Amino acid sequence: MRHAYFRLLSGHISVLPGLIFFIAFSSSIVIGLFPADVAAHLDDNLIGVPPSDMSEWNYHGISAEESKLWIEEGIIFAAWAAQWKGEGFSAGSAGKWHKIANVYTAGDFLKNGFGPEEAKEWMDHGIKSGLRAGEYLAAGLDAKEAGTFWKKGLYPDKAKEWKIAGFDAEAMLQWRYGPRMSGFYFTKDSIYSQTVYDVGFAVNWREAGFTAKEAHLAITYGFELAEAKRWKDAGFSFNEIVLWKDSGFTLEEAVTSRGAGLSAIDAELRQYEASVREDEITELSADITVKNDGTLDVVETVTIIDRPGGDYREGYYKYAPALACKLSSSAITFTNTRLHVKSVELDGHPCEHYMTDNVLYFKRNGAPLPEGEHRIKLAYTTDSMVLDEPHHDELCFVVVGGIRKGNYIRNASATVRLPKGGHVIFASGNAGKRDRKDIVSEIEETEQGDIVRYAVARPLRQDMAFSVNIGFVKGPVRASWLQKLILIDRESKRLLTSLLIFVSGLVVSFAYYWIVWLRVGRDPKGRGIAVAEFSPPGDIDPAGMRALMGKGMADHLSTAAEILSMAQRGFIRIFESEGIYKIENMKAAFRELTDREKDFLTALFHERNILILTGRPEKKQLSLASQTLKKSLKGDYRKHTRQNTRYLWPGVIISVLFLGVSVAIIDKSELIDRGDAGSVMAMYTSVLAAGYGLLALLFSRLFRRPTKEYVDMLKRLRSYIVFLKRNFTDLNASVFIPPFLQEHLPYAIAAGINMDGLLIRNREAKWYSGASGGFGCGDFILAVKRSL
Amino acid sequence: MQMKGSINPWSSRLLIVLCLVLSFLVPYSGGVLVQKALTARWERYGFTPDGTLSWWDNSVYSMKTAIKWRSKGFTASGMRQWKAMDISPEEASEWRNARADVAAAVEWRRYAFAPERAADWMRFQFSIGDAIAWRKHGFEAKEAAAWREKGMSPTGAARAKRSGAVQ
Repeated sequence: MRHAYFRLLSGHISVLPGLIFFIAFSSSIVIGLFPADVAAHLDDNLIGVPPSDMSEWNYHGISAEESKLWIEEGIIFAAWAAQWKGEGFSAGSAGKWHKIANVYTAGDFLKNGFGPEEAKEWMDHGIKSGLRAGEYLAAGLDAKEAGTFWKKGLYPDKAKEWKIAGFDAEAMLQWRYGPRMSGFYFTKDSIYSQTVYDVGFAVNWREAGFTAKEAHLAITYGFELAEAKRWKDAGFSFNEIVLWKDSGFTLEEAVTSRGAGLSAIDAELRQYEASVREDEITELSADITVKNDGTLDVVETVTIIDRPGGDYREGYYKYAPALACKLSSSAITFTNTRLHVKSVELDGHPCEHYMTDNVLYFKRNGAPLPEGEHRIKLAYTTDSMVLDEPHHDELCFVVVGGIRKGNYIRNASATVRLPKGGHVIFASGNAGKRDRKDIVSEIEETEQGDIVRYAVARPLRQDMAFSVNIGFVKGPVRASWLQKLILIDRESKRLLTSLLIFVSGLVVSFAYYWIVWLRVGRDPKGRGIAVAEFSPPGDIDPAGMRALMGKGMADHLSTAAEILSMAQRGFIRIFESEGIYKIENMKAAFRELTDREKDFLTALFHERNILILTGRPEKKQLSLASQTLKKSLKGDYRKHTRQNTRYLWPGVIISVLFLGVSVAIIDKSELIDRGDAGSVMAMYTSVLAAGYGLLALLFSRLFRRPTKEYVDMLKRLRSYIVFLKRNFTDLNASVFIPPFLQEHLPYAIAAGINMDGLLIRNREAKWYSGASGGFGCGDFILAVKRSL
Repeated sequence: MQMKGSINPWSSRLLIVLCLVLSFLVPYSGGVLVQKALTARWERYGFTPDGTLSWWDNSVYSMKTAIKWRSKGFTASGMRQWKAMDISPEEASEWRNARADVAAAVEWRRYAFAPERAADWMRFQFSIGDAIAWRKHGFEAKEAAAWREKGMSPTGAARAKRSGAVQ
């Protein structure tokens, strides 16, 4: 055998054909058993993974022959192949599809009549549903166009509308969506808003000869389509329409003026010159320097002509720059903007000025500026006006706010100087009516930083404004913490200031209350030396003792103790039979009793001279007596304390003052506009008031001061209770109370000492007689408790 | 009374050794168990155990975050630098589509260029400095490239544009 093996390996010529046959045969067997080795189109992640066993293929109803076809197409698992088969794919077609889609998506496309290459194209354009692709195709859209519609969320039916109206995907994008309203820097995950226009709007404006951008602007400017069309038909371009209309001309006037060779601005100036002119600013220039902390240095030079009537009836005035706006044109009101005037020159001389409600007024010789021509040079600084956006800093400065009736600005310009390194990202602004950009800007790069120069391209009249808006890179402007706080305060409509005032109010009130407490609220010290007490101090009764120890407390123990105290003194007799206690009035003279005891006894027997404690709630006699006792005890306790309520009032007044200021300082304009100022302010006020209220409540308790007598009595009572506890606690083992302690029994009950199991022998207590062995203290207390 | 003989110290020594061993084994086993439970949970969302550990190694312990990055085609190691620069997965994906690496992206976004815009400037071979200079005069990359081809500076082009010239 060994010899034959050697010969085989050594390549003996007679063995070779057999060897070849053996290798071929065994290979075929191996291939048959492990068909994966011949798979041609295997996915990368499946390389090296063995295919399903033959039994699995059989389980899914796929023969060995068919399984080879599936494996050749790269579908090596029987269950996987069964899925494809179930969706109606042959091994060959599944081989083409499985590389581009899963079995269900492929099935969906197949059912809707798409081949693998077509399906891939649709999927590449983002439409991964065969049904949806079929709908778009039916609407006459190819994969690329449909992809654009799909990305914009336009379903086939809507897309079809646009297509029928003659808009391809690109045109639809232009017409349907207005300019994106967003921060300057945005990525696809940024939140943004966009106005959406319908197909009817697009058709109408396009038919009138306007572009999508013009149509969108027309809506922003409030132009009606019919009117715009009339202007257009008269030969005006959209920009011309805006200019002539803003200058206040009708179409007919515009046609006439244009016929005379005038531009809109020339015509407007000519018309203005011919009219009765009121107040006028012939020249306005603002030089704005942005400082590193975001504050602004502004030098404003204004030449005014104050004529009779007009806007400057009380002389020239200027609003503080309280507005900030962003690129999206959303305006933020800086309610707390401070304007620090550095200097004011009137016609080359220093000028008096004062500020009220964010308006700066100018005076000469104590009176408003007289009519006539004046040149005013105003230098001032502001708080930080730079908005901290996520990826850039932004300055929006309103040079002139909404111009009022009777005023006219012929020329306006502004220069903004950014700090070093403040590279401009965009230089924009508004001049003219709302959202108009009748403005020219120029940027100069200097060593000290970029300078942006703005010039308004038209005169400014009623309801027009001029603002500059510059975005620049982050870094050069860093607001100080104080400026940041001021900014937050302004943005939160002075909420921060309000809270600061509220906290100051709390501190001031607390300080007041604290001082008062130190002076009148602290408890007096009792007598210095503790003396052992072996009897109740003074003439105090047991219920009175319990009330003093428990700050006016009165409960069933007080009642039980009081009854026993009366019994010991011969006013009451107690009978017991089978656990039911009968209390009988002995009708003794009241002379020895205190007022409280008299009242208690009267209430206890006000109906009958016998009271039976059945162990069930007894609402008449005992309850009434208990209530009388409670009332009397609370009244007595109050006599031992001084409330000092009067000292609370100044604190309350301080709190109310601070509360008023805190609430009043909030800028409520936005809330009023929204119509919920009342409810929001009521809620805010109540929260603040609750803070002050809690403080007052706390100190109203602390201000209560016990009298010296009370403190002394308390000390003596504590000594007496120590005595009681020591004696009565030792009795636990003996059951019967010795005679010398029996007189202390009501006080021991009032002191809350556990009396369960303690008895007084029948004969030892004259005030008691019963069927059982003696008076059970615990039983009696329980009977009183249950009967209350 | 006096005790005779000595106490055998070995039992207490054994106890100490046992305590020491347990003090290692108990937290270790606990840690292993927790890790296994967590990786099993991550596995349900398609993370292999090794892959899960890789996300943890790169300081991503929230599966939600890992899924966000993975959905944008980032691996644990690939997302590390982007995350370190505080760039969101969505934005990182946009920068990657704009063919910018982390360093370039950080530099471009420092000057407030959105990825799409930065890609335009890069496509027309503008450096960041040049892009800043052209942008401040209101030019987009394509328009700026056209002016540049004419040999115009940003200021000159802006002036020419204002005077009505077209590129």
